[in-house]
Amino acid sequence: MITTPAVQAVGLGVRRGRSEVLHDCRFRIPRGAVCGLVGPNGAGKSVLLATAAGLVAPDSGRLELLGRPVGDAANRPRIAYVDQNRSLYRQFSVQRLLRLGRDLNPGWRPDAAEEVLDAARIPVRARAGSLSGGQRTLVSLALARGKAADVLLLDEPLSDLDPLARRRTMGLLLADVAERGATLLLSSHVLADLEESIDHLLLLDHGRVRLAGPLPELLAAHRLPDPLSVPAARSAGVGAPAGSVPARAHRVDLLPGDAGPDHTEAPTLEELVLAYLHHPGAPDWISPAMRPLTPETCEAVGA
Amino acid sequence: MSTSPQLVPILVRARDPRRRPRVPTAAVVRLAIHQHRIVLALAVPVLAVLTLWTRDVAAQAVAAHAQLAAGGCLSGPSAASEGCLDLVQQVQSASQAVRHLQYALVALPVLAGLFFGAPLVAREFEQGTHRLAFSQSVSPQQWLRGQLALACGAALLVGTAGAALGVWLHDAVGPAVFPGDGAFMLLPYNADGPVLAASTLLAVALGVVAGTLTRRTLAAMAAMLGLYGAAMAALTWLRQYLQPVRTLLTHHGYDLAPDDWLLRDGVQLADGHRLLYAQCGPGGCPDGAPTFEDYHTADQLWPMQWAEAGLMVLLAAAALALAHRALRRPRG
Repeated sequence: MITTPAVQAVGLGVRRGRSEVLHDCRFRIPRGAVCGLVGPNGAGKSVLLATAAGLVAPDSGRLELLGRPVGDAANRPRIAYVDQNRSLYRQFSVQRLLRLGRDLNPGWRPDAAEEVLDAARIPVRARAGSLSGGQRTLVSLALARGKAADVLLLDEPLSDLDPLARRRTMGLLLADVAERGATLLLSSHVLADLEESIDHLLLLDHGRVRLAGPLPELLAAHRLPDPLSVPAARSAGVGAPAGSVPARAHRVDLLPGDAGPDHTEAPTLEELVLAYLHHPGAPDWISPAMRPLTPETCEAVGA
Repeated sequence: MSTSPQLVPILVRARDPRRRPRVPTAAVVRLAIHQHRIVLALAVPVLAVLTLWTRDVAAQAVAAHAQLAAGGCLSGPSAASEGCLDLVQQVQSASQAVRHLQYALVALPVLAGLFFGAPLVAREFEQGTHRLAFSQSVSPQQWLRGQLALACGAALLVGTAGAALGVWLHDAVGPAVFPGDGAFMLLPYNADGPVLAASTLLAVALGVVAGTLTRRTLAAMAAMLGLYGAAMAALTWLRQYLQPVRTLLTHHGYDLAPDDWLLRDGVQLADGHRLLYAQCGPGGCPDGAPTFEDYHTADQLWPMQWAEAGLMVLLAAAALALAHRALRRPRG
């Protein structure tokens, strides 16, 4: 039996005014994945998360969460979302915000929410407006975690947390993945923030999915050119301007088809992402594990 | 010794996957109350001040009128005396005070619409807190219903309190005190009774729908003012048709009571054709023709108020339904 994917997009497009922020996105995030959503500023990460959270309507294509179209009422208790601005009622105390979470969510887990706050010693009587940015992030994450959702959509969840809080918070979220089978989709424009925790990666660039797959598979499928042959690669016209990136990341090639003897070294995740961003013309690479399940593939896998 | 196992029928109720735990509406209303507690709390001192003011003004007007009557200034030879002129001036200043209070009462719905109705949803979108509200387990529409329950409840409470003050003033300062201040005139009419209560609801509802559609507080305030002004203008024109018009045909002048509302008057020609006084030529109206008066009687005041209030409630309901519909689907 195939479990329905946590998130699945087929030809998803979202417009803002006349420009298209997401264009023909196709991907699938399996249940229980910890998926990093990376890409440069303005790539469409936040729009993708807001669309998945049901706050932005797709203009074309389909976006499904847990097998249901986005915005489906049955999904509401099952999806948690933390937006980039940590929107909180500023006049509410932390305590009152937690009560909001308890009142408006049938499956509320008070201990799961409090765990996020306790470690950081956030004063529960303080008004949200008086908290620091990092503290507001923790309150937002506490609300998301308390909801006991199956899919957590977190927009830049770690960006303003100190290293200790990052570690603790990620630990709590990963425990939810391990114990409850939750799925995490975390965005960041700093890959290093996520690298330790994620097991899947989704790279967005200019509204397009450029790279998607489970980490080991991603890294195994790419090879870097031998440092000695880099000048040759550059003269072949696929290199980036010299000096702008580490020399090792100048070429993206796929294995096995394309790998010559001068492509020997496995890239790091950072190098891989940078290489794709530097080569907008390089073909997109979506692992079969993250391609959307069409009716045909369902039959194929089921057979 | 063993007995054979006995079969016991048990009823197993399958869980209906479509049934999911619902968030109680009370919780959504509680959130709305907590969000708007400051503006709600502000209504209490405002109403208290208005109550004290009404008591003062009513007492002042009644006292001024009583003095006038006691001094024999209402009629008779002393009416033009020096002392009476003083008393008449006191009555006039009391009348001014009544007018000011009535202005404050008709401003009540406008203030409620501007500072409570318009920001109710608009501020949510402006500050982005709708993202928090909409990512809980309630739908945007269910969330809105909680907000609307609070908004309608508060608007009706405040409007009814204002209406009661208006009626108090109206009863204390009738046409006996200020002749010529008929109850149908725009100011006492819009500042008391069901019309004031319902217009508060209407103003808040128009503010909410403007805020839901524009998603900007300032724009919503401006739109609310425009919509409310247009609605009030239309209803003010319409109100004369809400009760049957009475007609008086006489050969002598006016017979109307001070609280009646004269709509139009003129002469009726022999062929049944009517000429308003203003339509009579320079030669004056034809002699001998009977005069006609179209009017509403004082006892039609409250039925007319209730009918107009009913229309306002319908308009408010339509506005709120529109706001509710607007939140059916997310908008980027």
